This record gives sequence, C-alpha cells and structure tokens, in this order.
Amino acid sequence: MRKLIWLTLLLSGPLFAVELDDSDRGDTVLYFPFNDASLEQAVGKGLNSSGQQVNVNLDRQNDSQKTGVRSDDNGYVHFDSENVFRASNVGPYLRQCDDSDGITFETWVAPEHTKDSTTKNDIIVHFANYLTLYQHYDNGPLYKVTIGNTTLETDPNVLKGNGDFGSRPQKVVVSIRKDGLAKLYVSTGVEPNKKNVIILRGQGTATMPKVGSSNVNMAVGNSYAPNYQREDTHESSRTFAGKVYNIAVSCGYQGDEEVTQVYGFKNKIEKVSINPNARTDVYAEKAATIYRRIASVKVPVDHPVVQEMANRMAQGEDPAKVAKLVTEEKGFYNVTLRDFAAELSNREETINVPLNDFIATLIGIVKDDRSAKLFLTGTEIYYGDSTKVPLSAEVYDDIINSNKHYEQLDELNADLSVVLSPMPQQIGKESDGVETVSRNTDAAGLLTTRAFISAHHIAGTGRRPVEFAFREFLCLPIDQIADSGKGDAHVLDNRIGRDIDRAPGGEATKFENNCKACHVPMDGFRGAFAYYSWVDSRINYSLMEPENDEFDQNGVATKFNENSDMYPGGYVTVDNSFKNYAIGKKNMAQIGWDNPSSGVGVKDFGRQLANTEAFPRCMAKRVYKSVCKREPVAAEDDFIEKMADVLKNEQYNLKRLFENIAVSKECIGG
Amino acid sequence: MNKRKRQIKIGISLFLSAAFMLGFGHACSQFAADGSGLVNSTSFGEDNIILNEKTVSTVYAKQALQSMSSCLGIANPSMETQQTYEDVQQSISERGSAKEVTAPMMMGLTSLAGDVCRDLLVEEASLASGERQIFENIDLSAEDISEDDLALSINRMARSCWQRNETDQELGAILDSVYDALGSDAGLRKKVIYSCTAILASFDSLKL
Repeated sequence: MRKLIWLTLLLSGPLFAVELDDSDRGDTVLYFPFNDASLEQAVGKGLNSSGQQVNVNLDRQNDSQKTGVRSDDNGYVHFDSENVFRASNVGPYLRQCDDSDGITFETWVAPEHTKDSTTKNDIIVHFANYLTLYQHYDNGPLYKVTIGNTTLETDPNVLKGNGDFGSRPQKVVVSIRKDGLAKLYVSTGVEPNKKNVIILRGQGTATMPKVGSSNVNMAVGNSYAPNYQREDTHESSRTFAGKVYNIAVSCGYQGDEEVTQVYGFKNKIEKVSINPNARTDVYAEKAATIYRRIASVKVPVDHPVVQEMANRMAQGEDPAKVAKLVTEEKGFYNVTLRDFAAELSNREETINVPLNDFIATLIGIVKDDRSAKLFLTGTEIYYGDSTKVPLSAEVYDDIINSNKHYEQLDELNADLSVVLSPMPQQIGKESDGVETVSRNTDAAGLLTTRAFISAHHIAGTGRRPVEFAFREFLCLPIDQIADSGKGDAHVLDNRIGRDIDRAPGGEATKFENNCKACHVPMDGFRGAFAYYSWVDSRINYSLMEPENDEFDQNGVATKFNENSDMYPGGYVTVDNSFKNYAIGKKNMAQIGWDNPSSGVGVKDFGRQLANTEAFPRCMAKRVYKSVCKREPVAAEDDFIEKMADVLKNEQYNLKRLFENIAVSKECIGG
Repeated sequence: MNKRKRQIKIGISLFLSAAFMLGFGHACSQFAADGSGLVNSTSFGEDNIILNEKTVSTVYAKQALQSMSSCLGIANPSMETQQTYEDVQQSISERGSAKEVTAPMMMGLTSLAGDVCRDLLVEEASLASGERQIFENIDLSAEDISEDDLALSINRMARSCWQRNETDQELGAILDSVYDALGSDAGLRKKVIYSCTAILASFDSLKL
C-alpha cells in the first residue's frame, strides 16, 4: 500500500531535467522532490505513523543569503553561496525505520565547487545525530558520510563537479543494515550518451541510527562559519554549492543488487517478457539469427531488439542498418569481440585466456567507434575506469607489472560495454624499490600492449613479434610472406642476423632454399622491436631504463645480437630502425603496401601495417570467422574484398564490418 | 546429491530420446542443402562448403552456460550449475565448429542443460508470477502441473531458446516423452525439468 502511495506521489511530480530513477522507493518515509521549491521554502512529504502523507517544510534560514539559493523550476534547488534550508523536526518520519532491517538514504546532487580551497566538509544534507552527507576534498573532491561515529568516504575524484558532465547530477545512496553494515554508493554522473553506473564506493560498520524519542533537525546546504571547526577533525566548515535534485529516506536495507540494479556495471542477464503476439515470422527468424551471430548469445524471439529488427526489416529497411541495434548489445562486447580479440592476443591463438590489456583495448576502440587502424597505431590502452567500476587501477602494480586489473574485471563480471575507458599507453620500471611510470612514446596500438609483448617478446630473438604482427593483423603467416629476393634488387638479405646459420648442417643451399626467404622480410622488420624486451613480468623499454642489463650500450635488447658466432658477418642490430623487404612482386600484390619504406620503432612498423590493403582484408576474414563460424573459402574471396572495402569506406569502424557480414547471404543464406 | 544425480540421469536419458529427435532429427535439416545448393558446393579437404547457405555452429565451451542462461533469462546460475559447467567444459568444442560436435560434448551439454533448468525453476519460483519469463501464471508450489500449463511453459521455452514457436509435432513429442519416461504422476518439478532439458539440449537451442 505504501508503495502505491509513493509511486503516485513520485509520478505526479514534474519530470526532472535529466532522467532519474524515481520509479519506486518502497517504504519511503521522507521525500523532497524540490520540484516547486521557492527562494524561501521547499515542501516535501513525510509519512506519519498513521500511514498518512503530510507536508514537511524546509525553510530558508535567516543566516542564509537570500540570493544564494535559487529554484529554477527545473526540479532542483540551487545553492551558490552560503545558505541553508532547515526543517525543525523530521524525527516522526524517520522514527518509523527504527524497527526495520535497515535504513536507506539517497539523493541526486550536482556539486559545483571542486577545488581544495573551497571544499572542506561542505554539508549537503544533514540529519542531526543521525546521518550527514558532506562534500570533501582530499587529493581530489569526494563524498563523505558520517553515521554516528562512523565515517565512510569515497576515493578522491569520485565526486564529479558541475561542468564535468554539463551540470548533470550524481546519485548518492547510503544504506545501513540493522547489524551495522553500512555502504556508500555513488553513480558516475550522467555523461551524455553514456550509461550511468552506480557503484559501491565505501563500506564500514556503523550503528544503525535510531530516532527514539528525540527530535531530528534536518538541513540542506550550510551557512559559512569560518570560525567553526568540527570537534572530531577540527576542519573548517565551508558552504556547499551546487544543485540538489531530491532527497529521500526509506526504511529497509538495500544491498548491492538492489542499489545497482538500474545502473549496474555487471554483465547481467535480464528476463524478457514473452509475448504470444510477438513476431515469429521469417523476419523474426532472420533477426534472431543476426542477433545470435553478432552477440554470440541467444535471447528469446520476443526480445525487444529482435522484434524491432524484425519490424524494420519487414518494412524494407536494409538489414545491415538494422543490425546496428545488435552491435550496441552487451553480448557483442562481452562475448563476440572479446573472443575475437583474445584469439589475436596470444601465441596459442586460443580464446580461453583471461581478459588483458590487448583484449580490453580492442573492445574499447570498437566500442567508441574509433578506427580499427588504431589496433596498430593507437597510443592508448583501455582499462576498467574506476569511476565506473569498483576497482583499483594502480598503473604500475595492476596494469604494467601484472594483469591483475583485468583479471579483477573478469572476477567482477564487469560489463565491458560500460566500464572501459582509454588512457595513455605507459611503461614502467622499478629501480631500488622506486617505481617509475611514463608515457610510451613508441606506442603502436595492440603491438605494444603488455599481452602482445609478453606473448611474443619473451625470450626468443625478437623475430616473433614481427611474425605474429603479420599473422594476426594481415592474416599472412610467415611462410606466405617468405621471399628470398631472387631477381629483385630491392629485396636484400643484408639484415639477417648473425645468429642464423648460413649453412645449416653444412649445406649452404639449405639456407638459400629454406631459411633465407623467411628471414629476409622478418629480420628486415625485427629492428622495430629492438628497444623492447620482456623480463620480470613487465615490458622493459631501453629508452626508459638504459641501465637495464637486458639492453646493450646502444639500447638494443641483447637477444637481438646473441649467438653472434654462428655467422659473424651477419647484421648487427644497433638501433630500432627497420627495413621493409616484403616488397617483392608477390608481397606487393598480397600485402598492398601504401608507400612501403624504412622506419624507426614499432610505431612506424604498425603504421605501415595499418595502411596496407591486407589489413582490412584480414579484418574481414576474421570477422567472417567470428560471425559465420567458419573460415571463408577461396571461392568467397570476392566477398571478402567487398567487405574489406566496406571497412575502408566506413572509416575502419569494425562494427560496420560485423553488421554487413552478419546479414550477408554468404553467412546466413539467401 | 542423489537427487541431483537422478536429475542429471533424467537429462541424459532425455537427450537419448527427445533431444536426439528434436536436435538432429529436426534442426539440422534446416541447414541441409537442396539440390541446387549442391551445384555450387566446393570441396575443401573434408569439408563440403555450400556457398551462400546459412553457416552452422553450436554453442562453444566459453559461452555455453551464458547462452543457455541468456535464453531462459537466468541472472545467477547456481554454484552447482557452475561446477557442472567447469566439469563438462573440456568436452565442449572450443569454437563451436559443426565438425567438433561429439557424443561427450552432447552428453556434457545435456547435463549442463539439466542443471540450468533446475536453476530456472528455483529462480522463477522466487519471483512473483507476473515477473517470470517461462512460468508466468503457473503455480510452481503445486504438486503437479496440468498438461495445458506444461504445454504453455514448453511454448515459452521454445520461443526463448529455439527463438520460434514449437510445432505441434515437437510439442507432442516432448509431452509423450515426459509422460512415457516419468509417468503421469511424476509431479511438477520433474516434468518441468525434463521438458526444459529436452528443449535446452536440442540442436535448435545449441546452434548459434
């Protein structure tokens, strides 16, 4: 019954300027929507012990600056200087929660001042001797709540100030269980075109506040009191500035599942309402096929996306355009793209590997509609943004020196379509116990991720990164680009290292006929990776740590010039330059270089690969395999070429490739 | 535990009867080429690729549980189901290639389907009738389930995991199988898990 009363109340109010989740507050005993607040007063509703709604007034106090508080009729009160609204006693309403299994406080708020000098325990909402929500600053703006003697606070910078997201608010929830478990949740802020995610930000043990026979005075905002200091921290009290959209207190504890159900970061399966009248015709069948091919999971034919696809195709819309609905579904990111990326990320080419920076970055690039060329040229990696998922991301410990961050994202079952954000590629070192991290100036997309370097630059002689770069991104195994250069003056063997025997088993012809063809292009390129190595669970980069024994005096990883006795006349790597010798007639045709040239570092190497004709063709083949569940055959070469053109024409947006291939007759029949 | 093993056995026996018929006897035929399709076929080693025909694959090891849970709308598979998944994962094709379908894989998937169906029953029993995906308006606390209600739930499971309505022939086959294998007095729980497993372990459910 209570629920119905409050639902009616909530739905009857004006709409918020932004979409807030006020669908049902359950056993709410106090609620201020601030829809009709004036400069002098805001009227909320309280539920008294008889189950009746009564008006509860919040009045501006005389110590406030009248001009400081505004109600712009947009569903909030706006504080921009010292001012406070107070209610004399909300105890009768809160008292009803004294015997419940907990209490939950929530508000939507958009703070404005986020500087150290302006934010110190600014009171947002205060229930005397009960619960207080502050804005605070400690190496960044944060939320802080006190419940009796217990303080919970978020990490710095969880609080997003006005302007970060265009004055859009954050939801703050405090839920306290009868046995003392207290949790603080804060949403990410409603970023335009992004999902808003509410996550657990603080947790502790507190005595659940009870009213008993006391009065509880309530305040929203606070007046500036320069000489006032909190008794416990002796910190000065400042004034809160910003917008408060609503405040609600409900009886009952709300756990993680309940609080995060609307804006969850988890990759959670949802129930679908089965509708006997929904389409099950050929359009629905086709839509369902396209859905499961792109998203890699099955959903009922009644699923709203499947039904919308079917309806639009029945009206004659291009299926490739309709398929765009599925590339926004979380299954596409969490299953299809993840497996697509995983296969490219490791030496065994298995999809059964933990999430890593390679996989997350590929998913992130696609998610953000960025060019697939960034797979080979990007300067960023994607990670689980700590404002979207409750997860630490210590760059050195969790990302550079281990895969911990990504494995934790797995453990949390985080929805990769929600939580990933880009950050610059960084490399690190540890010297005398001091960890240093700096930007990688030779970043080359996935080629310089921790996963790729750890898979291909561990031990060995520095050739495998080249081999696998061609294999994974141009779909050309080394034997296919093998070219000994016979009859081509531009293809030389002068870069083949000293560790390669020119007469294996005493037979020079064996080298000429078998070994040389692979080593000409491979050794030509391998210098690109000369400043990199993989030791002690992290990328070693000589320009950052010239003192590292892994590198010689030129900064070249020592493995590049090992076994020099094998053929002392061979090439000595002295820097990270490379020569492109995959430019014979065969390779020019199958790779399709765009201005092949010499270069320096992985960055140049990746750029040359990204600008080939083979790259989009390879992506088309890989997407075909991912979506259509088999390798394309030679008879489908024309189709693959056509799809490669689609990728190029769509600014290398991989989503368009998935959509076009998934709806093709080559994949799902005519 | 014994109870659980019995359920798995039920699932496996079901696979041998209903699932086989529904799976290989029906769904595969959707992919069979007609005469004209064979004209365009091109042989590559052991594979006989038929160009411009719908390609086919099954659920694969990594997402088999997710796919089953997704179609039935199960948010939280139980620990037991996750353990079963761990146990059978090795037998399931890594990529879902049609060439990699084996008897152990189908047995493993049937066993997993049985557990997922048990989770479905538990999860939906905890929900209000109107919030259920499969057993809406069915009294799950009752001892038994009427044939009409069982048929209704079969229809909802078919729409969920086959992504289409079942045919009369399929419905009849499942109901006959339920009553033949379990008897008419088997009770709601067994009948529901049995019919659910038949659907979830069939090829139309397992195909991607």
